[in-house]
Amino acid sequence: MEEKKKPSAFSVLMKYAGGHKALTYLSFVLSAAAAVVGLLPFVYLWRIIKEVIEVNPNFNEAVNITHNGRMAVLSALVSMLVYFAALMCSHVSAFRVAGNMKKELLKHIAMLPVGFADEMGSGKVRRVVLDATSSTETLLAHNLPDMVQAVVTPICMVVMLFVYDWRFGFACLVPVIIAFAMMMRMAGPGMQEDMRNYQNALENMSNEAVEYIRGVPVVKTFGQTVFSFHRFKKSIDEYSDFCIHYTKSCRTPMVLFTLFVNTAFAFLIGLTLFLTKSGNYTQDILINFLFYVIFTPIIVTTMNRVMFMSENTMQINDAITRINSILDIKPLAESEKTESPNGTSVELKNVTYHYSEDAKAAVDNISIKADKDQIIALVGPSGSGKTTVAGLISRFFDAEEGTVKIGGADVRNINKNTLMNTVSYVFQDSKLLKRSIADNLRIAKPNATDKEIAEALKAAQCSNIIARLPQGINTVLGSEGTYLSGGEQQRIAIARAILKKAPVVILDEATAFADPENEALVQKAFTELTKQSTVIMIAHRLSTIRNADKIYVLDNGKVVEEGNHEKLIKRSGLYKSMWDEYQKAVSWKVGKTV
Amino acid sequence: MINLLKRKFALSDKGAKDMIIAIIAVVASNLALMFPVSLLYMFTGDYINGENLSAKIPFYAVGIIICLVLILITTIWQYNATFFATYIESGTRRISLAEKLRKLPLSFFAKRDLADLTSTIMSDSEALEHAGSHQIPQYYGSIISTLIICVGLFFFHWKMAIAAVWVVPISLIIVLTSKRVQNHFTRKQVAAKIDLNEGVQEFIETSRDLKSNNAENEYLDGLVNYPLSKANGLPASSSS
Repeated sequence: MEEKKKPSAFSVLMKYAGGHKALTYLSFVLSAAAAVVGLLPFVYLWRIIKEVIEVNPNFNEAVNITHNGRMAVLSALVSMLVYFAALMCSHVSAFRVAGNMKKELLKHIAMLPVGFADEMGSGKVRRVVLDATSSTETLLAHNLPDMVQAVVTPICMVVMLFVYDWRFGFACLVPVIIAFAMMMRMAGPGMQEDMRNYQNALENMSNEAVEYIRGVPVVKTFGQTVFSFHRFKKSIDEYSDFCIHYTKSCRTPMVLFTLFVNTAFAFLIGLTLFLTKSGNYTQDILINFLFYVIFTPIIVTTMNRVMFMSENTMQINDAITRINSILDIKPLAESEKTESPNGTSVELKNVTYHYSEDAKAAVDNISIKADKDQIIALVGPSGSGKTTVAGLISRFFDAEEGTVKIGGADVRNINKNTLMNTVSYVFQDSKLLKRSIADNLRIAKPNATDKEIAEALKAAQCSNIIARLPQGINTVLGSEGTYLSGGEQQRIAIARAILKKAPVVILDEATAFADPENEALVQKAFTELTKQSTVIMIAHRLSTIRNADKIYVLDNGKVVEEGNHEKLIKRSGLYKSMWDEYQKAVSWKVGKTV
Repeated sequence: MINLLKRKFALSDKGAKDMIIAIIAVVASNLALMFPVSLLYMFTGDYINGENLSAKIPFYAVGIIICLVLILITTIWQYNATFFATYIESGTRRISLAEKLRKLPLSFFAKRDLADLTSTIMSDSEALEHAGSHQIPQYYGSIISTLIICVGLFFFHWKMAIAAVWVVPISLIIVLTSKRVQNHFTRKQVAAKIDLNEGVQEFIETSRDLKSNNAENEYLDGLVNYPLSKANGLPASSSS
């Protein structure tokens, strides 16, 4: 049913084959040839038996035995080599296809809005990129060439059926046809229904598992009984029940399939007994009987191969669906006209954005303005839309309504590279690469000299970090147990931003630091970075923003108050109450440490 | 033996016992398929020796029925022992995993991506499920039944048996001696795969930082040129 709507798995895969498409087809041809040649040893074997019976009892008249024997071995070898060549071709092509799919996916991911991986889960994305693509290898490398054989071999057998003795051929084919009918019964419409139920049970179990595992730390912390465990157990039981039910429903056809595939012997003996009923024991009957006895094992092997192929096709379709789940996500639209920022002011005008259709607006008709070299602070409870505003400025995603402008140019019209050269974003949790510190900084400026790097690190208060590392700025992070704390990582990220010298800087202050010393150093680094730039700062410690030119207080995606510190304190609004809370927290902290 | 299976395939006590039964069932069903061969052997002998086949019709009729019944019974047995046992076992395995997780220290959860952890556990269970029903009993079962059949062949005609069986030790020797070569390539491939895995994970995790520094394409080029082509350029000696 589904095949009609969607292109087949094979045609999807071939799109990624590029120049290696020919290899795949060549592997089919070679595989078919190997199947035909592979029947020859049996024909020669049968010729030997035939000769022996015909000359019986004058065995020294059987002069062709050696020739036939040699030919049997030779054709077996040729068939093997040709099959080997077929597999070589199919493997090369299969690996190319999987490799190209990986490349395609990674390129696509590079163009997707930032935050897409967080939404989907980085582990899941990685598995699609690596595992889903690799699971297509078996289909192209093994299954399809085998499938060709599974078609070619029976055709050859039907041809031989007419060449030799149609009665025996028919006796061989009857059980195959019955077995095939059994297989079809399993793949009928009931099967599709079952397959859907299976997927549902599996999905349900996965979801409950996530819920359960997420719940474990909470439950442990508060010492509650595990309610989610019962739900998880129930979903496991349901899944097991379904599997067992499904296995039961497949048992009869599956058993009958195995039975009939192996019953050719009964038909052959029966037919021979019938033909010789009148005492008509001819050599011809015996020889033909033996011919089909020799050939039946090939039928069984071929049929069994086809039997287990359907399962693999299902996996491939699943893999392709998962790959498309990423490829179908649209990258940000590229604008036809390009603008360049003129100056470094930042302005959001009546901007609205939803993370998903049914979520409430993350920012709702918001307007914010920062003039050149001003420091603007965004404060507000978590979930008030601060990070969303910052993301919109660096165009990690596009506003649904309203405009975001830098230097008077709409960010949607600014070339991505230009935009990223204009804006530096220091994330709350910047991730560093497992490379040397110097290389991590060079991401921002590939041709930076060691001196520039050292200066940037010094300005970002990283000197003590570098002093501690075994190879200074050339120490590879993550090697020999060199790990940096969150605050230290942020300082390196600040050094990177200092090196980049972008005219617009977005700072997302880390919410928590391990120790006060670290916090003070980060503050100092921030001050270095914000010299001579337009700064948008997401602040969690209100003390850091007293000097801001303007403070925007956000709540529920809206600007509820704006102005400088003194003005906002006088207003006695949300900012005032936040400030009071903050003062209390600080004095409590101080009181506690004293 | 039971303990070995338990460790090797993450099975419960009952699961390991069921696995042994499944292996025996596979051996039985493989051997059942040899009965028709014996019958064909006898039939051909009778034909060549000019016996009166009409007189033997009842004998062959009974023989055929016995063969069919044997195949039927052993196939049903094998089906039950492999598929049913596996699905019951996999339910048990998932529940015991869940119990285990509940008992782990909190710090374990703090360090891990929980969604990732969950799906790894679920897909590993599924892989074990598939191996338990489709592969492991069949693998051991066919080794045992092939050995039995080989031994049986020697009772008919030892010279012929040698002619038929000599390939087994030869191919074993080839497999064993090529193991080192195979391992060498497998290790190289696995190493490249791990590199690639780490690279892709790092790319996904740092893509926000890379993109805001216009460095994503440079990173990707490095990733595609080095570990990716390496992981995909080698013939998979293990996938055959």
